[in-house]
This record gives sequence, C-alpha cells and structure tokens, in this order.
Amino acid sequence: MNGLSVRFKKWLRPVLCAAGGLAATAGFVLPAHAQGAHYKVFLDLSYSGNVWQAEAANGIAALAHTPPYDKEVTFKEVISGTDVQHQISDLQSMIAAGANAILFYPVSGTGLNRVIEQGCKRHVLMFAYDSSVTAPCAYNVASLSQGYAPNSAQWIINQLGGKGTVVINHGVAGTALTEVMSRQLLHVFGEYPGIHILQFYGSWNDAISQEAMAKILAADPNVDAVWSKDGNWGVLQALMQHRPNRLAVMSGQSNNGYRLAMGDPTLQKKGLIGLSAGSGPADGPYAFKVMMEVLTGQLKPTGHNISYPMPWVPYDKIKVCTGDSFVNGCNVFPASKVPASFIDTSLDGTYLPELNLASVQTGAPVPGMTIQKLQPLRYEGSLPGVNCVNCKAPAGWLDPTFIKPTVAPK
Amino acid sequence: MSAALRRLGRLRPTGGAVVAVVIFLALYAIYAASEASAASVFGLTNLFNNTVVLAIASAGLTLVVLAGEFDLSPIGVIAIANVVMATTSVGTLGWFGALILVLLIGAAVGLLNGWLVASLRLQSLAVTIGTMIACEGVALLLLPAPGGAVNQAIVDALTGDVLEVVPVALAVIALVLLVWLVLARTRFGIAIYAVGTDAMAARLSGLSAERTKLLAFVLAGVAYAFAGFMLSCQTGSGDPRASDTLLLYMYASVAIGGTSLMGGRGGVFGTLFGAGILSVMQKMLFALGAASFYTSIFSGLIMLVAIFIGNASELLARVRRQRVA
Repeated sequence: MNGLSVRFKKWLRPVLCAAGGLAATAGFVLPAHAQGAHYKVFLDLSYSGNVWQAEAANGIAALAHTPPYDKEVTFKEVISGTDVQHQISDLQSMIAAGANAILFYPVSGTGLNRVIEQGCKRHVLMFAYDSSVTAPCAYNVASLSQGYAPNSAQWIINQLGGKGTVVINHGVAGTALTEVMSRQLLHVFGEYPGIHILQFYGSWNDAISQEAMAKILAADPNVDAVWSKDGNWGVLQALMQHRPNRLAVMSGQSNNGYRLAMGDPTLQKKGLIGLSAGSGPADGPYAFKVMMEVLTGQLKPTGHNISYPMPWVPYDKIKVCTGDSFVNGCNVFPASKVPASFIDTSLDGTYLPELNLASVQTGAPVPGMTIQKLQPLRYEGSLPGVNCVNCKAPAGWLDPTFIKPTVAPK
Repeated sequence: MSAALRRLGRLRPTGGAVVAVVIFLALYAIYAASEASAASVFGLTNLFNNTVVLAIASAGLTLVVLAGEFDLSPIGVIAIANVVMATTSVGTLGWFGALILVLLIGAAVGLLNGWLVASLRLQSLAVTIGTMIACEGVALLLLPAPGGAVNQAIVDALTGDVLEVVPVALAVIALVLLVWLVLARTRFGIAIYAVGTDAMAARLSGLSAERTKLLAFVLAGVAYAFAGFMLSCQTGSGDPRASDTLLLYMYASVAIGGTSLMGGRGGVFGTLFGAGILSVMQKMLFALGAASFYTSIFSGLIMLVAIFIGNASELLARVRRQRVA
C-alpha cells in the first residue's frame, strides 16, 4: 500500500506542478483559503422533483465536495417544499444549528424576509439563487435584470417581421418573476400593432403547457410564435402533434431535446426557428461558489444583487458536443448521451469549469478537479419588489437591452 | 350539578386528542434531546411561530368538520387576509383597522359558504372549492405579486416573546383554546356535536341544523382570517400564494387531533396538538439529521399511527361503556 502511495506521489508531483504552471499561465489561480477553518453550510431547496432543481442541487453538491471546499465545509441539503412556513421553519433550524452560510431557493420573494433578517443578525450569510428576495441583508444571485423577456420578445418580433399571432406562456400567477416578465413582454409586443397576442399560464410545467397549447392550436390554428420560459418542451410537443408540418418561432428554456430540435435542419424547414435562453440551473452552483468565496474571506462583493450571465443560444448557434463538457463553443449533447429533458444550462464552461455532465447528473465532484478562480462579479439592476424594496427600477427596464429591432415599431 | 358534570365531560379530550398530546410531548422530548436551543426562548418562539398559523386555521376547520361538513376555502381566505394586511395595515387603516377588515372578510366568506351549504343545501365540498378559487383570484387581483408591508409594530409584537419568557404565539394559541372552551359550553357547542353526529336527530330534538352549520362556517371564516393575520405578522409582507399548500396540513392536524372527518366527534383541543405535532416533527427530523425525503414519510406514518391509536382507544372506551351500561 505504501509502495503504491510512493509511486503515486512520484508521478503525481510533476503532473500537479505542470498543471499548476498551466493554470497560472492561463490566469486560473487557485484561491488561497484560510488553513484549518471549517464552516457549516446548508442548501435549502424549495421546489423539488423536477430536472431544473435536481441539476442545480447536484452541481452545488459537486462543488461542495471539490477541493478545497471538501475540507472546509460540512454540507447539508434540505428540501423544504413549496410551503412558506415550512421553509421559514427549516431556515430557522439551520440558523439554530449554527449555520455559517445558507444557500436557498426562495419559495417567496418577500415572505422569508423575517427569517433572513434573523439569520443576518446571527452573522449567517444568506444567499438566494435564481429567484430573488427583497431582504436588504441577503445576497441574490440571478439573471433576471438581463432581460430575457424583453430581448426574446424583440427577437420573436424580428423573426416574424413585426406581424403575426404570438402565444405567451406565462409562468406561475402570483410570483414576482412572472409579474415582471409579463409586464416586459406586453410592453415590447404592445409596440407592434401587427402582433396579435394569446396567453395562458403554463406554471413553468411541460405537461400543463402542452395541454394548454393543444387547446389553443385547436381554437386558433394560425399561431406563428410561442414565448415560454419553462414549459417550452411541452409547447413543442403540442406543436409537433397538432401541426407537424407547420411549426413556429419559439423562445424558451434549454432542454437538450429542445436544443437538438432547434438545430435540426428538417424541423427548421418546417418552421421551427428557436431560441434557447433564460436562467439555467448553473445559477445555483455559481451562487454557491460566490457564497463560499465570501464566506472564506476571498471576496467582498460591492453589492447584494449579483448577476449570473444569462445563456442565449439562437437556432443558428447550436453546436453538438463530442465530450462531457461545454468546450469549444458546443452547447448541446447528442440524444444518445442525455435524456431530452436534461437542461443544458446546468453546465457553464466559462463560469463553472469545475463541473461536467456526470457531476450535474449525480452530484459527484469531477475527479482531480479543484475550485478555480471566480470571474469578476457583475451586478443586477434594481427591480422593486423583486430584489429590493424602496428602490427604483432603472429607466428602460421594460425594453430590450441587446436585441435591436429590425422592424420599426408602429 | 349533574348538568355541569355532563358539560365538563363533553369538554374532556377524546382518545384521539390524548394520543395527540402524548405524541407531541414525545416528539418534543426527542427534539429537545437532540437540539440544545429547543428549550430556549429562541427555540420555543420559533416553534410556536411555525405552529400558530396552522393551529388557528385548523381550529376553524374543526368547527366545520364537527358539524359534518367540509371546507376547502381556508387557503383562499388566508390569502385575501394576507394581501389585505400587506396593502392596508401600514396606510390609513392602521393595523387594528386592517385586522377588523380581514375578520369581516373572513366572516363574509364564511357566511356565503354557510348560506349556500346550510340554507340552499348545496354540497359543502363543491361550494367551498368555488369560494376557494374565487378568493384566490381576488387575492391575486389585490396583489398580483409578492410585496407590500405589514405594520412593523404588530410584526414585532406578535412574533416575539413576553418578558423573554413566553412566546407570544403560544399565548395566541392559548387564547384560541380558551375561546373554544367557552364556545363548547354554549348551546352552539352542544348543537355542533349533535348536528355533526346526526342532523335529523338534532332537528327532532329542537336544534336548528341550518343555523348551527351557518354559524360554524362563519366562525371558521373568522378563524381563517385571523390565521391570515398571523401569517402576515410572520412574513411581514404579502404573498397571494403563501397559503397554497396549507390545506392538506390543516386536514392532517384535524385528523391527527382525533376529530372524526365524518363529524360529531373530536374538538379543537386535539387539533391544536395535531398542528403542534406537524411543526415539531419537522424540527425534530432536522435535529436528528434525517434526509429531507424522510420528512414526508414520517409525517404520513405519524398521521396514520395517531389516527389508528385514536380510533382504537375510542373503540375500547365505547366497548367499556357498553359493558358498564
């Protein structure tokens, strides 16, 4: 056993030296962490049992077990469900158990504020991911203010030439995210009198969206485009069942099956002009990494609303990967490698090089991987009621930021 | 003397309620043994704050269930109460005005339910599904997304403790119990059991089943509204969906507490402990380090055990009574 260890060390040392040299040359310097410090870190999930949450949780668990975090944290995952009181109770239990940091997916943007403040008073780092909270002492890591809704709406308008029937698949009524996106969508589409809008609430769910879309197609067969956040895979299924030879312009999330369909020339000829964008599960692991760097004293954010870059892949940028990671610009896996429901934006070669396909599917760390240096932080804009209170939204928050109109409004 | 004793006997906890008390104490003992802060004022305040909303709402539901009916509208009333508190308690109405307003709303929804069920003889399940959906829609209209703010004075006052000894939430639960003890000694208290056991027999005895059911729905509506008021104090804000998942837990609290879902048997005392069981179980499993998925399994198992033992003890008591007779 000892002989094996000596042999192992013999060949490992030069390999590690070379890797370290390469990493330093490439600008990736391992963060220096305090020796011997140990932290109690919790992950509190609310929604569970869906692919998005599972991949986010797996990515976070994989990072927690990647050196040097594996030696620095005692990591525990808790599922609170969708009941606000239940999540409040679990967060209180975590604080009482001596948590140093809690990463959570908030079930309510405002309902947890009291318990968040309770945690902050006890010097617990409180980090929300993907969905934001308004408690000023909490950190939010999200991509909402990058404007998925207004930019994708403008992209659809450009594809349609400013005229046509567009279906909006809203998310969950009563959530801040749906409310903000709905206002942005109606504002952008409302600029074009040639756009006729039909709407339904698909609850970010493929089955509900598929059923609702089928009903709309039965009532109005002249749908030209569909906007979704989640639930777009269900929308595509409805289109392929009810109108297989006349698909539509689509904007939605990043299921592998959807991206493969977007890149399929046969389906493109039938009218599928797709965009895959919006917040992905990688937001969770990225938030964990930021939280760990703040916890270990490596990072001092200048703001509390931290931005995770929003993925944006139109149909003409689809590129199939040959390996298990997103490298060289590839952004979708072959159908033989992952199920159609797999969400591709759980991986991010730029911001989360520590993760690969196996890690987001199982929660196991990538063998031999260490935590890489964080990219410089960017910050979200203020969205009243979403990530702040008593604040003002920036001018033009309803408008597209990077997709320019190719058709003049009105 | 004998009449007074009979009344006291009616207030005595049923077998199911006693089982609920025993299970609650056992779970709390395990929780306290595994979590140092469980017995501290901080731990107790958290525990009772987590319990109070479910306890009050379930207490209201118990009245309807005792009267032999079902009610699915609580989550709609709680949603309205929550958003009304978040949108009016800081403004001109003030917290007291907002509280009166939400209690009136609760009573109005209860009155509508009661009228449709008791006077028009419509099925309570169908009626209250309708009012639940309508109330949730109204809540969304009043506050389309989470937001607003609840008067800070009541948020601090009702989520803290009295002299760093008694959690305010525990005092509120005790107040609910006191109201129940008074209510159960009234004519309505007698009628609700009689109507729930056998409405026809109750009518023949001169009791008005319609009036009893109507009052049960109204009082329940007030209780749901008060639960929404307490929820607003817990969260300090409004969220039209904050009560979405509460309904199943409410029925679980009622059933675990020994109240028969067929009506006529049980009481608020057991229900309050039923709600306590569901809250303390979550804390206990966390303290024991149980994996998240086991929480649901344990919840279901404890509910089955409580109902089984409660029903078995009731059956034994009935057999014993028959033998004595």
